Amino acid sequence: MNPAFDAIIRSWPFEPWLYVSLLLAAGIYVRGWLVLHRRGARHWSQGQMIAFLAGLTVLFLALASPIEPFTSLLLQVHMVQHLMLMMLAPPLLWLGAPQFPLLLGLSRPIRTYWVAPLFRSHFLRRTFQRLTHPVPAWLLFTAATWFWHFPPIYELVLRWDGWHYLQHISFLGTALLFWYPVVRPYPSRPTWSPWLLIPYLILADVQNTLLSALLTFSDRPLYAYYVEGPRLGNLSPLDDQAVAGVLMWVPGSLAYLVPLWVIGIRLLFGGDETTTRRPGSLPGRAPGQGAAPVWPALPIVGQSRPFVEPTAFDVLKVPLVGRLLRWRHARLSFQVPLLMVAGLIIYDGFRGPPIGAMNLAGVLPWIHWRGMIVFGMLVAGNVFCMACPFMVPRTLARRWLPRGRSWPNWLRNKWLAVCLLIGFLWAYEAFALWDSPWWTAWIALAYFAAAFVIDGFFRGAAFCKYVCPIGQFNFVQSLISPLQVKVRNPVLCASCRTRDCIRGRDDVPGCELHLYQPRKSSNMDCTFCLDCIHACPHDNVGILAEAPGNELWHDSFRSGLGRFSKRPDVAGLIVVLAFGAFVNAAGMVAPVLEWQDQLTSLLRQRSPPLASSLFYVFGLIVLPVLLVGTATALCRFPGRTKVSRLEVATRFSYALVPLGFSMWLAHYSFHFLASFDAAFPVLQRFAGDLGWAVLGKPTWIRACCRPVADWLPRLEILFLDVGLLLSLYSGYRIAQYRSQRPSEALKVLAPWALLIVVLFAVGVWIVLQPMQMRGTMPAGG
Amino acid sequence: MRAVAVGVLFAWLFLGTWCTLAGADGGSIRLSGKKSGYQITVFTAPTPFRAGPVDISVLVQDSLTGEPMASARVTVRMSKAGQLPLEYPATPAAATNKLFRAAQFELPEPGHWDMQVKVEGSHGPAVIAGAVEAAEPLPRWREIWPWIGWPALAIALFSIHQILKRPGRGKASMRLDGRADSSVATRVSSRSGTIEAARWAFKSSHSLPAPLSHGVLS
Repeated sequence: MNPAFDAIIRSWPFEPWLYVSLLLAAGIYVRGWLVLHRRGARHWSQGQMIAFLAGLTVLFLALASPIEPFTSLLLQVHMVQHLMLMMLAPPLLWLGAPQFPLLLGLSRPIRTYWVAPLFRSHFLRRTFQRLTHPVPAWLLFTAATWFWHFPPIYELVLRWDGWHYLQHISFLGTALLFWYPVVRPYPSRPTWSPWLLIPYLILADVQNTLLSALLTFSDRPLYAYYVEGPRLGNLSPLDDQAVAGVLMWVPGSLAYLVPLWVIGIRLLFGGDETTTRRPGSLPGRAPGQGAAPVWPALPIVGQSRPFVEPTAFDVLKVPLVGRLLRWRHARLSFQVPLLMVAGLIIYDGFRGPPIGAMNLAGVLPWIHWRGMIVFGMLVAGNVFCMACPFMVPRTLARRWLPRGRSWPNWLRNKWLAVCLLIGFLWAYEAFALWDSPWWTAWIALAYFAAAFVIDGFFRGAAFCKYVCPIGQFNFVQSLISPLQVKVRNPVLCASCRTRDCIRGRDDVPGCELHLYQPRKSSNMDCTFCLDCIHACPHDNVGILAEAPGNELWHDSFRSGLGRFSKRPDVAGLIVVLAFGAFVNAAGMVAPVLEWQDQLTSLLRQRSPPLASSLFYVFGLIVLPVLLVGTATALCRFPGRTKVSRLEVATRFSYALVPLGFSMWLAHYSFHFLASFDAAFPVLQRFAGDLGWAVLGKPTWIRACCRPVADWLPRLEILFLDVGLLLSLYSGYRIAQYRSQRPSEALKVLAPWALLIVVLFAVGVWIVLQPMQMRGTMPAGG
Repeated sequence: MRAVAVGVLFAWLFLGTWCTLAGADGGSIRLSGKKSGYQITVFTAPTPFRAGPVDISVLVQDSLTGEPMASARVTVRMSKAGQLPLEYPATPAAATNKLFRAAQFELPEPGHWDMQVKVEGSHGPAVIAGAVEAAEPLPRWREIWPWIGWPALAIALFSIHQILKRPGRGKASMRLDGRADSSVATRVSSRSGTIEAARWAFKSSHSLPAPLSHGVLS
């Protein structure tokens, strides 16, 4: 094969946003089309779906095929790209009649809550009506064509990417408006005469011919960029311009003349419904039949059976996965491997080298385990608690130790866990736990011992619910996870008298965290142990999909928890974890470390623990109290609504969960994605120490000096962006609960929104700073 | 038809895997000339050229026929007074347009840099050189401001959506989670608003008749 041709066909640009957009559009369309096709195949033909997908394919080829890289070298290639965007893709998309398939393809909450107001808006409907009238559509299309081909503007487009994107969006947008009246996709009903399309298309062809003639017959190149650039083959810039003009002329004219011919034939010889339809009358009815307009017999409205919304996605119904999770010993099958890994970590922590980057205890817990926890919660839920290895010895403890006591009433809250979390986050920095395999091993042992003792002496999974700092972290972050263990059909639970989900049955225990399924709401305190699923005799408990953050917005009574607004201990936990995310990440960035060193010098200390202690006391206690207190003080509920300050602070603290989680996710994913292969040389070393040479000699270069990929900070910022938006929305929904009008809700939300935005800005600043690559070898080491 | 749709989607994914993670090609033409039987054109990006991440793309052609020379090896060398010279191979792998060779690296300092591009191919070695002024690097946040700033657009769109949703303009009575608001009055006014919108829609052109949207959207 010719090397140049080979190079050309391998030149595919990487445009991830384009792929995601096109795949999403196609997926939504196909989903909606399938529903419509089932209900009325006569109205929804396969040709429509093919046309729409073909239109998306044309867009893909125009913008993400080898055409795109060659547009800057040859004007004729650039012309082909524009013809695809303006003449080919839009009519194909409209031929797919996309309005209803795209609407039905959306999920019901999005369709009814977000999209419906747009369709009911008089302003938008009027605007769309005016823009798709032939006169303004023709004017906009022609103006865009001539404007962007004006030489100084075209030069700008060729030299600046931003203008180039704007040009493409403008071409596509005006072309969609232009072709809408021509295609008239179902269910549009124009009230203007279809004969208007004849001069419409003729005039469009005339302006196209004028512009193409200018390009074809010009005696000098119009665009200096192509004169300065390299020439491929022996094609001169003027010849290239002439070919571009011919391409615009001939195929461009065909694009107008073919539909002109088709429409003309239909108008002359009949077959077009709109010529016989009076405004307000219905297709298929003779004039005068029926006094008033009634709903037309359409597949959606005139359906013979009610539209049944599909039930939420249930993991237990996924083949293989569902079967595995229904197995009585599923949890144990996850816990045992993690127990073995924990054993190896403890062993290597005590017996292996004391350098964190060379020890399993310095790498696996602090890089891999933390990263996988947050990714697990992002895509599923509290999967670590499901597979928690610390619970395996608990089974033995319950056999050996007297489990007769109740957890003390005064400790039946989260305050102990809050103190332990603050202590853990402080100790992590003050004693550099991440760099001490020995301390890490002791911490793991302490966890096993605490779970053994507490759950051995006390009933009701007290360790998980009231003590375990890792568990509290998981509970809070999983409040915005997409999956939740919940009841499938509440009506069935109303008739259940045995309540096995909480009492247990036979040898299957019920929920030990006192979460009664019919009243359970949210993942708070849920360890995903699946006992309720195994115990329910009606198979009425599943792992169902939930809108992320949904549980933060309402203050209903929840089993095992009560109302969120009455739980300042849970709010305190959330605040510590939210601020802890930022403090923990900030403690590893260069400017903060330099500041701590300066503080150490100022205090004339030999070791840094005092400076880092002061930093953590300020960041985890002083600053949250100050900021949350200020936001609470500034928060004014309208009218006679009397709410205590504590309740306000408690309720609005839940709005910090999404942003806090996004900061943990950004931070832990950074370390995980930047250093995930640091585990390989450590495993090689560990195997070598045990006499197993099968893994080879450690390749320490894999644990060192990898430059941070450019896309990684962008991904972290993207996480923060989504967290910001979800936190603001959660705050808005919480504020709406006690407000009569949206404007009142906004006033109530304002101080909290400011706090959230400030935290977001701090998070972005942290992401953009150089960060310590903990758990990896230093350069030269 | 599901098979057709799935086939198209898989075709896109397959084509997508062909794509490289290479950066942008082209940019501004910095150097161009004929040397030892080659036509060498050198592009630099970003525009304006500045310290920080840069992309230098080279197109090597036969000066007589204009044919791209796919087998030529290209090296880019940047030197500045008081700095160790930087030398990087320019490869097709780093370029989106595989006729080019690209070198992407971090230019450490602003100021006056001497650029030298060495080509080795079937016509032997050739060098093209020139000077380039690198401006101060952009602050980090300015490079990635779209990533930081798009939530403001989302908030603006949400605000517009809330304004459109106000009573009198047609209320959506459903929450994001699909559960209805508890207010019966809300549901009644929503339905009457929908019917009113439907009657209006019958008289409009090029709008979605509300009975259709009612069936789809309710």
